[in-house]
Amino acid sequence: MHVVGVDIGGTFTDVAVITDAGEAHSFKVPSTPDDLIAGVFHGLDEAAAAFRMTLKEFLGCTRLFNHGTTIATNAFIERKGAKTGLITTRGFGDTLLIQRMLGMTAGLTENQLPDYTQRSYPEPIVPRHLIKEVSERVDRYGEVVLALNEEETRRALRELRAEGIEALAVCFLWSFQNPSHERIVKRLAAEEAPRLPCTISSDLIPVIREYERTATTVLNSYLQATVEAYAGRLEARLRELGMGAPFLIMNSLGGVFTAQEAPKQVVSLLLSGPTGGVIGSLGVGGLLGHRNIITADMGGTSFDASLIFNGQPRRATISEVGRYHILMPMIQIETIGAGGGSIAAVNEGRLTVGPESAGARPGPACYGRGGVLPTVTDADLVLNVIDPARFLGGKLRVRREPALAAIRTYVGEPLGIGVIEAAAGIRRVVDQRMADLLRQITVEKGHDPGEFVLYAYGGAGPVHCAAFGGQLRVGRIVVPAFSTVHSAYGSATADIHVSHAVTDLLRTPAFAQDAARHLDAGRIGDLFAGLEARCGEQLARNGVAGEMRSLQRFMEMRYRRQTHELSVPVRSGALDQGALAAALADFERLYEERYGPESGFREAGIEITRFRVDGVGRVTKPTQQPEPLQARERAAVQAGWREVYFPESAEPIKTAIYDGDALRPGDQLDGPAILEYMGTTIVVPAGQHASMDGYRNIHILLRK
Amino acid sequence: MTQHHGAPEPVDPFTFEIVKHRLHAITEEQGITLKAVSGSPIVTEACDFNTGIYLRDGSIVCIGMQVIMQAGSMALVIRNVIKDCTENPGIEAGDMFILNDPAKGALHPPDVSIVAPVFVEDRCIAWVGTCAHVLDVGGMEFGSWCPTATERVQEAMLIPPLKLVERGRLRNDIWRMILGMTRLPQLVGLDLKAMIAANNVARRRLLEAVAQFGEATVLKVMEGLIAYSESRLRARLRELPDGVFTAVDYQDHDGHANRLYRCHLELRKHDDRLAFDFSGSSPQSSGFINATESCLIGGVCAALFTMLAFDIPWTEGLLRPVEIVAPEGTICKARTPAPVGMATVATGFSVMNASVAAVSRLLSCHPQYRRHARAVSRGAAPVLNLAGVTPEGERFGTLLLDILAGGGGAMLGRDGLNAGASYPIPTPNIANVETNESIAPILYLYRKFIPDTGGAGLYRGGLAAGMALTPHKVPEVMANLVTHGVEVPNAQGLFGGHPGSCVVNTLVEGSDLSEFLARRTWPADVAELGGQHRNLGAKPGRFRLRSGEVFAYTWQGGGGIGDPLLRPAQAVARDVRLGYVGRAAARDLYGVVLSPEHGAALEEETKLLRQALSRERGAVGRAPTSGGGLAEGKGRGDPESACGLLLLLRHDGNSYLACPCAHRFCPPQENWKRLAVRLRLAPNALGPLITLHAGLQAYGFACPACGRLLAIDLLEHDEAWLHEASLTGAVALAPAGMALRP
Repeated sequence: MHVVGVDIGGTFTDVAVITDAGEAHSFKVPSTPDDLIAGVFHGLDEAAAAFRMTLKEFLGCTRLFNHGTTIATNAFIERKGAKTGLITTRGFGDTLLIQRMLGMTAGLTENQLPDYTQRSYPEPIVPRHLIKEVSERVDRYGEVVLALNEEETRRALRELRAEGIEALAVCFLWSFQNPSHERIVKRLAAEEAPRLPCTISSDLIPVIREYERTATTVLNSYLQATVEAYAGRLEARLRELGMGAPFLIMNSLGGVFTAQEAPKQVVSLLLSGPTGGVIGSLGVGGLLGHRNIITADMGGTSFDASLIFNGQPRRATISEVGRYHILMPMIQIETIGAGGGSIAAVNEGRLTVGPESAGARPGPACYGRGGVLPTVTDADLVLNVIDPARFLGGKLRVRREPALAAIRTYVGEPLGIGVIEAAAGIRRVVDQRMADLLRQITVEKGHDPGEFVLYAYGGAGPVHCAAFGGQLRVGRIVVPAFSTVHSAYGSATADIHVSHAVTDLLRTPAFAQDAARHLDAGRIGDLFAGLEARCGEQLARNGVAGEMRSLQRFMEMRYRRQTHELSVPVRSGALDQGALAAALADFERLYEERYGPESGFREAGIEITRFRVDGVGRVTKPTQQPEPLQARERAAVQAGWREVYFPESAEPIKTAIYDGDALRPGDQLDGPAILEYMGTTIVVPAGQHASMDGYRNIHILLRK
Repeated sequence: MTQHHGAPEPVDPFTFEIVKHRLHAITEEQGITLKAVSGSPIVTEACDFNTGIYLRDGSIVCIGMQVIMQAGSMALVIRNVIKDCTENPGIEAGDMFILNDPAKGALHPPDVSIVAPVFVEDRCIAWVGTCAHVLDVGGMEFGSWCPTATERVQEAMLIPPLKLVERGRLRNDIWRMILGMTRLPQLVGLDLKAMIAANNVARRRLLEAVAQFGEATVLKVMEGLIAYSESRLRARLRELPDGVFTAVDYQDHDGHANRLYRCHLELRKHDDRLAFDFSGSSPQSSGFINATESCLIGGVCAALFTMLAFDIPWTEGLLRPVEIVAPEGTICKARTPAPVGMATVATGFSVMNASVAAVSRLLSCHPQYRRHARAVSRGAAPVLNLAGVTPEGERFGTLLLDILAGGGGAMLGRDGLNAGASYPIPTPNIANVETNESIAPILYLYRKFIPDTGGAGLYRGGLAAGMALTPHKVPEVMANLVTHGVEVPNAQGLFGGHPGSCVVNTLVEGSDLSEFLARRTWPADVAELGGQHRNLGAKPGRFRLRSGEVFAYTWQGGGGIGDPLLRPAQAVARDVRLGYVGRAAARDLYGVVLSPEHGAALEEETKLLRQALSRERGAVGRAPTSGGGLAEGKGRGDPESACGLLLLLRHDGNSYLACPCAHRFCPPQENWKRLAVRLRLAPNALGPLITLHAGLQAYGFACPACGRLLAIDLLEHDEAWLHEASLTGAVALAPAGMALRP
């Protein structure tokens, strides 16, 4: 028996299989954008064949099937979701179009922001004529100022039905304080249009900020049908083939949920792609005992980085997706346009690399598919870091000459330097940009990179990790055994994550002596009890037994009048003044940790804005067993030598080349060395040391 | 290439790029820290602040993507700190200086700067600084907006360069003094702490960069960036034609009386230099609308940086090829003790509006840069402060900056963006309604796009939003409202495009809101409300907003570009369907007849109406078409280039400005308007939401051959026609078609 993780990416569909014996296997097939499910089955066919089974047999032996998919993201970006109508408070129908003006500059790079001709608003997900306003009003206390006008509502519903909408979203002002009006609309919608799917904001995300809440609710409605149909079709096909195992879908909260649950929280599938890699890193980190990890995923166009601290990924309350703003606690992943396809250019004597990318088409110059501009991959090729004969296992023919020509023409000549120096410059600039991003999420958040292990994956991550990792001064880099299918591996090892929150503003007065006394412990206890019940129900719906559940409470807190909160963990069990006083103290401690000593201003008073419970349902997975380590002679595994240019020296360095697949647990080697794998190349610079652990991960120890 | 002995070793291009990114990252982190720690919604949600890194002499190296004006201001602030404090009390490592005196570089008193020198050993190598609008700095009115002030000392506390942090320690005496002079000590305290924290972060990061790359390298990159900006801007200026470009903007009401003030700009471009000359502006006012030098520079920067340096680093180097001229004693450079409390959103805005218009005229003469030309965006900023006591019995004070969501000006080739204004801020945001309702005891009635706010044109100006509010659960809130642009359409159009709408400030006394509630409906527009509707004008200042009363305002839309009669009828029909343009405006301004049943444009009726409308302009020939005579092959002479939507024609060896229908006007250095049909335009001929001050008159200038509207001037009665562009040198070639096609 085994567990299967399938991850669909822009270019490849990856399959990871972990057997009950703890062995892991990976497969990679091209994605099929027109019918994503076809690619899934190509991958499964390949996996079944490797196990010498029919697909039926292979699925019959599957205990758990976890799936990460870009279906929601694609439908959103390509505007192929359901025709969605929105009902909102009279006077506020333009909230989704005005977008707090955030949409106008969302997604623009540092270089584009100063150029106002680059500004635009995204194509609306709900056009103005499908936004209907109805008379109703609730105030900040949740008190009804004007009861919902049901006649108007029915009229709006009929008009929307006549327009042929396929989904309905409802978001009223302050509905998180009093959901009654939204619930009435839901009931009326069921009467007026019985089969119309309907999302109300107070069910999905009962939290303050009406623009973000509206955008999140609307996107959920917009994508629901697509995801439901997709998940239904894929699951039905798997069931036809005899799979009895649970079918779970990866989300960006950091876990998986059942396919039945997914449509209710479709927005959490957006951004779930890079999340698989973070979960994969958590899994590998669990095996290796690493609790502080920097994840670095460098692909063709982007570099995605995130932080795991004390075994917990960092989560963001609001994330920007496709120039809209999603109010969901998602794993926080920072992205810059830096990848193998990033284009290098010289402007008035200055070299820039990215964010523009040559993508898969035309691709880097070396692909010979019509790309003429030099990219990072071209530089890697020119510097002999990548062997053209072994690129993607020889599946893709790449040539050195066009890479040389591109770098010479567009970088070398404009700068008046040689082609090797130019290529090395491209590498230095892109490595520094990645190092700067990693700095931002570590050093600039008060973390010492020396206390973290850097996990590098994605096609280009292992090629560059020693460089950006060295800049960052981490001590150890791990290139996971499945670095090129790391997200699929992540899906296979994910647990079920749920999260529920409510907004309720509680304050301590300014200049209060014993602040906790001003907080109502009973009320807070009730709020948490309600949230815990909701998490529990959701975990139960996902089939998680009681003993496999764990819940964590949080309060989001700030100084009064601030608008940015810190999430402060709260102990479970009965709440009393002492527990609240401890939480207040924790807030002040976390605050000063982040903003420096004496930055606190407790005279202002403290506000609690939101209460949240995160729930985890652990999924039983095979335990991977490490293989025994054997020490071998280096000569036994070395495949050859190559002259490689490293950034530190102008002359090429004779570098040992290893066939990665021939390495065995326990192998040790010294840089300069290059380890070649099917989908990637690991670079070990001179003076550094690499080894393979029992799970076949490569560790690079950086000399400080 | 030989290198002079002792010349500084240049930094290699890779290291240069790396350090440059680091400087940007530092400035950004500075801003993030400020937003996280500040308590004021105008910092956290509306970005009324900026951060930056400066050379040791105060030259701008790197600024954040927030208020551009404040970046220029801090450069002056640092120079004044150096001048006033070097001897006594001295400038040492760990110090920070606070300042808000407009005579010493502040834009206006609420924009408080805190700047910090960065020392390596005993050498000051650079400065970092943070500037933010804080909610109250004392003075005679809450929020420190004082329309009745007649001298600066009435307006606010005026802090000269003052050492707030001494070798890393906050000076408690100074701290208490400052917080003792504001009405909102908790909020202002949080903001000042945030600024100190942001500077601490920037200083620490800059020193880390020095440790990593070396002091000499970091300094060379900082100076190199400035030199690089300068050479790039000079190169760009050399590409643009030489000439004189004129623009004018006005303000209504000075706080004391509804007087009109002119901000007149003559932009002279010669070779690689640019002069912004405001000599033709009004004498300084006795009211608080005046600007000091800092605000004058800031207003110019907002246009210069974003339009001419959209792809060049924003540093001090951009100011080196530029001369900014304004005689002392004008509104653009007022002498002490003239009040300046409203400078940023008064004369500062006017300077920016005129600069955007003049620079657009310059850019429109170049084929590559013309897409950066644009009509003026929302040209006024109605400032609404609210204060009072919450139902819980606590004092509150806030400033609503929802007004950033005014309309964007049309671009040459593209409609303006709805809610797309905000020239002075590269990354503007507005607060959620729920956020504002949780700070102040108010209910919004609506916040929405207002139809007909975008200036009509071949390319339409973007729509402005507007909103209304009423006190909630309290007997009253105090309001303080100041603006201009109620009787001046500041968002002027270009090349015959109409201006965007004026600001409308309405107070409804004795509203029938409660009757709406009794009828179970909600008023979604102020016009639906019964009661006494009072037009508050531009500067009502302080007023009580009582329970049951409603305050509503509409912000300015963006200006349009080109004759509205040229806008494709289907585009107008779509605007009407979306509710962006009213049916009356579609007919009267655009000449489009819509089917009463399905709203589609009726082709034949539209053609006839458009012909009739252009005949009313006194044209002798046929109606203008976007194709124009030249595109139809009927042109005379060789069309070679374009100046805005006019063409430059070569005829008999001479150059002429010509209408796209090929009608020739005059040589390109002369004013073609004297040969055009001149039309007096009533306010409603400009747009349904336009009001003109008694001192203003609008004139249209149309082609005598085809009736095409080519320009609209907004003039004081004694003023000469605006000579928008006088091209004195060679003009770059442009295919004529570019000027013609929508």
